[in-house]
Amino acid sequence: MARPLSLAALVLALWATACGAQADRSAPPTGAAPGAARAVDSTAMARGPAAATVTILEFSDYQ
Amino acid sequence: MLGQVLAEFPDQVRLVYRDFPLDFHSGARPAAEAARCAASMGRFWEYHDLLFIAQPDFSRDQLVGYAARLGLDRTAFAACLDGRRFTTAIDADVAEGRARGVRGTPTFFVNGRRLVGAHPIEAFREVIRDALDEARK
Repeated sequence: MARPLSLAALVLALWATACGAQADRSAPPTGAAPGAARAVDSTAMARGPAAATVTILEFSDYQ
Repeated sequence: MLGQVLAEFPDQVRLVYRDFPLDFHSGARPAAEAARCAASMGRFWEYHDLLFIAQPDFSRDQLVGYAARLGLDRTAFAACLDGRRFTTAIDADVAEGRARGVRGTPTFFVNGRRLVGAHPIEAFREVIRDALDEARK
């Protein structure tokens, strides 16, 4: 029983680390609400390597 | 234009799209819903590009028609669109944008640096080079 729990903890830790890195890259500008950065991309609506040094976050509409 | 930016920096830049349908653009939200449906079917960027070509013709039938043009199942797409499955996700994008101070479209954040409105490609090149230089320090 202990092994599955340890594995789950490891996966959770790795996931949290990955999410934190993404949030740092697209952190809101000074003065924006804390926690405004979305931790996880909707990969279908993103293109370019996930580990890219630069993230362009585009807010747009179609009209 | 951002496609060209991505082509110039293929290993260094990632583009993430967020919906920010403006209230006074009556067709923007249905279009965003439709694009999300296309995303759920694996064709977001093609549909996204079609919408920018087609604007502002965003009636329901046209939105379904664009999907069919991409070879997506018309019935399934219409069901997705009519079901408004992605309203909450779009609202979340709008809330995030407002929290970041977005007031109009398009608004870009390049590693957190804000660019408001349409800019020539050179503006993006410059900001990206600055961000890459910053990352090397």
